[in-house]
Amino acid sequence: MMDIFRDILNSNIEFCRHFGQLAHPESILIICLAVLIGIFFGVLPGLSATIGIALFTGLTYGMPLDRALLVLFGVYIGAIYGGSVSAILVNIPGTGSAAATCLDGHPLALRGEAGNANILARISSFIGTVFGMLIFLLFTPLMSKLALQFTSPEFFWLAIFGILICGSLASPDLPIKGWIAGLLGILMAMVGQEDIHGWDRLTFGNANLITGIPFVPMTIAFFGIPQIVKSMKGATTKVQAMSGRSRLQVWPLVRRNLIGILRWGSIGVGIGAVPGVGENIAAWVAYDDAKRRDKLGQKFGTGVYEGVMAPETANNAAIGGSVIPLVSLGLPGSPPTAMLLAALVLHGIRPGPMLTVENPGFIPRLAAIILWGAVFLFLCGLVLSKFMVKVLNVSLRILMPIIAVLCVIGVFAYNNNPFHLKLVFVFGVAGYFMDKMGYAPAPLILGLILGNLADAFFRRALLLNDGRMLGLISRPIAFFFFLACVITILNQLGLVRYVKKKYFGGSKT
Amino acid sequence: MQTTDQRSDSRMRDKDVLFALILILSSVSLIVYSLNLSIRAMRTVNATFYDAPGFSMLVISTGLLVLSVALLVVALKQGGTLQWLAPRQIRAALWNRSTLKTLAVFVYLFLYMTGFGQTIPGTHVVIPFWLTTFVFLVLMMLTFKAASIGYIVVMSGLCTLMTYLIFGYFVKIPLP
Repeated sequence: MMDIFRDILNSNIEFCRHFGQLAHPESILIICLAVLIGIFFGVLPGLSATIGIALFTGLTYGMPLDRALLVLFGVYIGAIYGGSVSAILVNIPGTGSAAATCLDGHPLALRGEAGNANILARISSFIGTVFGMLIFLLFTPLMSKLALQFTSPEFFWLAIFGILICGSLASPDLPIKGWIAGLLGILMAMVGQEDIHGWDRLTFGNANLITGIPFVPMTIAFFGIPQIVKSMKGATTKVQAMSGRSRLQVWPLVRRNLIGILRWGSIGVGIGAVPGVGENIAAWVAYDDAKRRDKLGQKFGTGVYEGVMAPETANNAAIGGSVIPLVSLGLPGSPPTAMLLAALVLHGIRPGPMLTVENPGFIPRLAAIILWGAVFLFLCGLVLSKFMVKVLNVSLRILMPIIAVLCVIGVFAYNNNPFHLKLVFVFGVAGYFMDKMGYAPAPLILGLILGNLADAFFRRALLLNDGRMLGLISRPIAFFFFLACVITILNQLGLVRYVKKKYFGGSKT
Repeated sequence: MQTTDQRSDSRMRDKDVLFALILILSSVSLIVYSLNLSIRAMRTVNATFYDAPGFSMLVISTGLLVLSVALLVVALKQGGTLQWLAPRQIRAALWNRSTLKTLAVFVYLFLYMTGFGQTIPGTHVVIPFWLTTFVFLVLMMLTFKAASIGYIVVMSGLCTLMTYLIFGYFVKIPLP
C-alpha cells in the first residue's frame, strides 16, 4: 500500500516538473497550433478527432516523441471540444461526441444565447479534460500494477472483450455487425508473417504484405475515405450568423452544478476507460443522467444550460479515461486512442503494463501534455470560437478534396511506400460499402490493432497449457474476462433480459 | 403501406442477405486455407495443431461463419431477399445520380492514389507531386461544381503550393 502512495506522490512531482518543462515557447506554439487544428477538425461535420489523429500520426512520424504527442493530444482535445461549436450553432454535431450537445445547445442558440452556450461548452470541456487528466494521473499507476499480474490468457480475453464490447456499442444497426467487423479486423491483422513459427499468412506471394496490413493507413481508409465520398455526394452546409451576447453568470452556475460536474466527469472517465467505447457514449449517458436528476428534467431539449454542460464535461473527461487502459493495458479506450496507440508504437513506445517500468516518466509527461491541451482549449476557444464558425461557411466540396490530399500525404509519410496508397484505396472502397451497410469502422480497426496480440497470446496460452482449452480460463482474472465476454454476448442476444424477466420479475426499463 | 424507416430497414436487410452469403463463402474458404496452412506446418516444422500458424485463423473464421449464418437468419426473418439483384433493379440502382457521383469520387481517388509517385509510362520520369495534386483538386472541384472555374484553379494552386511547402519543405516528407 505504501508503495502505491509513494508511486502516486512521485508521479505528481514528476507531473509538476514536466508541466514546467513544457512551458517553453516552442512547445506552447506546437500545442496551441495543434489545438486550433483539432478545433477545426471538430467544427467541421464529417471530420472527427479520429480522422485528425489518424492523419497527423503519419505526418508526425518523423518528429521526436514529445512533439508528436503534443500535436496528437492537442488535436484530440481540440476536436472533442470543437464538435460542440457546430452542434450549438447549426444543430449539426461536428463530431459524434457532440451529438447530445445539439439537444439543448441549439435551442439555446435559437433563443439568442449562442454565446452563453458556447461559453458553457468551453468551460465544461475544460473542467472535463482536467478532471479526466487527474484521474488518469492518479489511477494509471494502480492499473499498471494490476496489469502486471496479467499473462497470456488474461490479455487474450481482454482483447476479445474489447472487440466484443466495442462491436456491441458501436454498431448502429445490429450488434452482430459490430462483432463481424471486429472479426474481420482480426483476420486482417493475421495477414503477414506470424510471430511463433514465422510463416506467411494470406500474403498471396506479395512481398509488400509480409509485414502485414499497417493500421495507420487503414484508419484513413475506413474513417477518411467513406467520409470524403459521403461529403462530396451530399449537400453543402451553410451556417446562419448567430452570436448572442453573454448575459450569463457562468461561475455561479458552475458552482451550483459542482456535484453534477463531478458526476458527469466520473461518468466520462468511467465510460472512457471501457475499451473501445469512448466519448460518444459518455456524452449520452451524462446527458441522460443530468435529465433524470435535474429539477428541470422535463425542460431538457428546449435549451437548458445543464443539457450543454453534462455532455461536454463527460466527452472531454473521457479523454483522460480512455488513455488509462491505453497506457496501462495497451488497449485503446476509444477510436481516437486506437490511433494514439498506433502513434505510440510508431515512436517505439510499447503501451502496456511494462510501460511504467521501461518509461517511468511517461504517465506524468502525458498528463502534463493533457493539462496544457486543456489550457489552450480554453484560450483558443475564447479567442477563436467566432472565427472558427466561419469555417462552416466553406463548402464541403472544396474542403473534402483538400482533406483527401492530406490523407494521401499522411499515408505516404507513414513509410513512403506507394503500395500502401493502393491498399488504402481498396480498403477505402470496402469501408464505404461497409458503412452503407451499417458496419461501424471502430471495431474493425480495434480488431486490426489487437488481432496479432490476441493471436499470439491465444496460441502461447494453449502451448503453456499443453493444448487444454480450460487452461485459458483457469486463472481468476482470465475467468473474469471470459465471463464478461459471455455476458456481453448473452446480453446482446437478449438472454440476460429473458432470464431477468422470467426469474426476477423483470423491470420495465 | 410501408413507412420510410421500414423501407430503409428492408433495403438494409436485402443488402445483409447478400453480404452474409459473401461472408459465408469467404469464411469457408478461410477455414480450408487455415487447415491447409496448419497441416503443412505440422508436417514440415513439427508444429502442434494448436500452435500451428493456421489455428487462430481457423477459430476466427469459424466464429465469422457462425455470425454470418446468424446475420443471414436475422436478415431473412426481417424480410430480406435477393430479388433486388434482378437485372432491371440493378440497372436502376447503378444508373442514378448518387451512384455516378460515388463512382466519380472513386475514379479520381483511384487515379490520384495509383498515380502518386509513379513514373510516366515508357519513361523513367516520376510524375511530380504538385502536378498530380493540382490536377486532382481541379478535377474533383470542377466535377462537383464546388465554385467558379477561376476560384477552383486559384484555390487548387494555393493548396498544392501550401501542402508542398508545409509537408515537403518544412516537415521534410520526401514527396515525389
